[in-house]
Amino acid sequence: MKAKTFRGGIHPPHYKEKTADKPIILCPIPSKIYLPMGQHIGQPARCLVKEGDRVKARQKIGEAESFISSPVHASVSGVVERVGPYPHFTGRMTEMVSILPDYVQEELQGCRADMSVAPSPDEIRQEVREAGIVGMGGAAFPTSVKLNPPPDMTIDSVIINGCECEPFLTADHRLMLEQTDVLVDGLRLIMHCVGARNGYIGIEDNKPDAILKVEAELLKEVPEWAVTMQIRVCPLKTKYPQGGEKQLIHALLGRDVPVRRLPSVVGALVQNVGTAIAISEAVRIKKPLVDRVVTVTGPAIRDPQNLRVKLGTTVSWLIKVCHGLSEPSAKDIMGGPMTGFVLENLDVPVVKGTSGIVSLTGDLVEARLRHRLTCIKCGKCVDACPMFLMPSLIGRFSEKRRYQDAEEAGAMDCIECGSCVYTCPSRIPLVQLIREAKGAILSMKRS
Amino acid sequence: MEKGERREQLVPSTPAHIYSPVDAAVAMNDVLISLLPALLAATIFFGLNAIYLSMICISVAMMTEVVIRRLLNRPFSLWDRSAVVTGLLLAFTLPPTTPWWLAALGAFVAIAVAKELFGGIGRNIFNPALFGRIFIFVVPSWKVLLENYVRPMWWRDFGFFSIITSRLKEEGVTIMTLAGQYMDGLTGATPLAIRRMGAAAAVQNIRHLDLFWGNIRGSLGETSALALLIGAAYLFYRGHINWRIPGSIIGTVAVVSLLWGQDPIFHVLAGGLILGAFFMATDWVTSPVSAKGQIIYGVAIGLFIMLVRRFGLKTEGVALAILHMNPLALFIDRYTLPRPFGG
Repeated sequence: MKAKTFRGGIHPPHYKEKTADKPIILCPIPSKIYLPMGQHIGQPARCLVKEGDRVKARQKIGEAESFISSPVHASVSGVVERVGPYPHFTGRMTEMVSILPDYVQEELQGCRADMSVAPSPDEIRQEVREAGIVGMGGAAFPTSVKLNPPPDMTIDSVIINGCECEPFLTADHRLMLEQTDVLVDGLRLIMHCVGARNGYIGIEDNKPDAILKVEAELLKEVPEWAVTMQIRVCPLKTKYPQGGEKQLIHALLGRDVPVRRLPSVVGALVQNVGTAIAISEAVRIKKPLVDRVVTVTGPAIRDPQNLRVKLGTTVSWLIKVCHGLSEPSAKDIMGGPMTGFVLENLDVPVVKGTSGIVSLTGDLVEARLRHRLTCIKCGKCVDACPMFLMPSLIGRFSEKRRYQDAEEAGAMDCIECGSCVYTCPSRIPLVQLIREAKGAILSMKRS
Repeated sequence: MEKGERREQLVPSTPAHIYSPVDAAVAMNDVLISLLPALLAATIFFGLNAIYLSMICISVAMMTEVVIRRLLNRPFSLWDRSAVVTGLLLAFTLPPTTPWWLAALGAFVAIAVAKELFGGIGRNIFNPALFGRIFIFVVPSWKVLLENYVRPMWWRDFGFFSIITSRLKEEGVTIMTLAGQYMDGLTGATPLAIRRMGAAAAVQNIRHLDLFWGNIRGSLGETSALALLIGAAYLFYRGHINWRIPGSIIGTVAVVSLLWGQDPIFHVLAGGLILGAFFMATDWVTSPVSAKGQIIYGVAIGLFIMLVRRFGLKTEGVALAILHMNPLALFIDRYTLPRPFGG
């Protein structure tokens, strides 16, 4: 089958070879963990515990109090040391619960996953909501909201995003190989929940082993409740940002999501691999979202790994588990190198949306500072933009504070994928300029 | 903690955090590489003159950039190699017998006026090389020095290492070697000029194949379509140019010449069309970036070229067409914004 794709985009080096073949290993629990009440898009959870409380692993410690929000669960058993502001990966101080683990971990054990039956759609939504599941690809949007589309929209297609188009990251790749059955059950549960007939698992063609593994899984015995579902594995061209929601829907379904609208408008629902697995685990074994797979990698990391990490573990602990740094790191990123956050402080916790930790060395970072120029209008950003915008033009307007013009040029449609920044020979920080314009446009609208 | 192992000075920044290895200097290097086949062809057809004039233009362009930027308190910028590209492109547009001082003046004007006075690389409105070329062409007393096109392979009779130039004498322009030896009967009109003079029969004698190899009278770098196309293929391969501008220029020229009942292959291969379409009109700074805009720009240049060739000057049609469209590039972009995905 010919690999499908979208128009635009870039071909950065994959940098995945260091961890692609490394099985997921359990990350040891550190001596202290920090659980932020806000790990998702929407209102932060309300803290349910106080200093000195003993908490069990998987116990709910934060309650979601509005529709767009998500509860938080203790990832380890132990004693609450403090409830207060700690540094978040964004650089801000936010409310977190710090727990001193007692390493007892009296979790709910022995629940056998029975995939032969499916609960009702409402039960699935309830379980997903209670388990605190959010989009694990990075955006951290509460999944229960996505499973609750407006009543006038019918979702006919559910897409599992197995692209993992960010360089360096291999967490989803490993999950597709190691928890294939859980992934497929997760997809079926989502389809059952929203009443969709068609399921797609989109995987970039640089992961042929994952494509084969998932295909083989689909050929196994299908449970009674899922026999009418049509699920296909779709190889996609390896191109960034193939995993962008709108780009993925275009490539797989040939439908274009209108600007500033949600995928449900075209009858599509996209979930990340990790999220689908978490959904299955929440429904089948009542496991809330308390851990996730994080790829710890980059040229500065001595022993890059795919780690199954308890949420709240600090980045510095992950780096220590990976044998520390082999050379000085010039930039430590939470997430992938195209869209991730630069960490100023390594003592910030892994959260639900943390897909990777990437430590870059100076040679990769300084390229930006060297050879900086004014825009030479080469148009490479225009050709790369997967939203068909003119990043150079929006950037120029933003620099001159002509925010009205920037809005007309489509600043608000930018998905901040970073393709323009990657490709710019003048090394102009276009995403930064466009973000500034977006902020200014929003505040203009508010006032 | 591992903090000690991190650098003192971290680089805080917004994404993306990795960059394509192709920065401006790498891109300009690629342009220089793409011009090498044409430089080789020029050396074969016009002898050492090609190297001689190229070196003059490049070194004056570089020196001008250093001095002007120092005077204007701008940072040193030769690393981006755009001055070298401008110098070489200017040399390519010059007749092989151009006097050294006129070539140097062209290079000076290209960098000092067209590039730096407009604000430096990225801010220039006109293609610097073409601006320099037309500047030295519009002064009537110098113009005559730029109208003597030596015949290809002339050096076979005089030795590869002889360099010829033209000088203003009382009786007119004289072609002579640098050493002072007079040479008569070497120069003549280019194929396009012959056509304009109405000598249709003479044009019939010009073979398409000679136009393609470059075995014709013309400016240094413009004659060999083959060498230029090899270079252009490299630029395509490296992703620096796309088909839209060159394709629409060449397509328009071909269609218009067919409509006028003229030989389209002749019009495409003659004069500076291939050089202009692939290397001048595609100049990043002075051409539109939107897909639709690039096609509009190319078609307009193609029409302009054909109008000049039919009703205007004997030569310089391509240069004039591109220079006239340059300032419109930004406007074209503003009115051809692509429709956003899903918009």
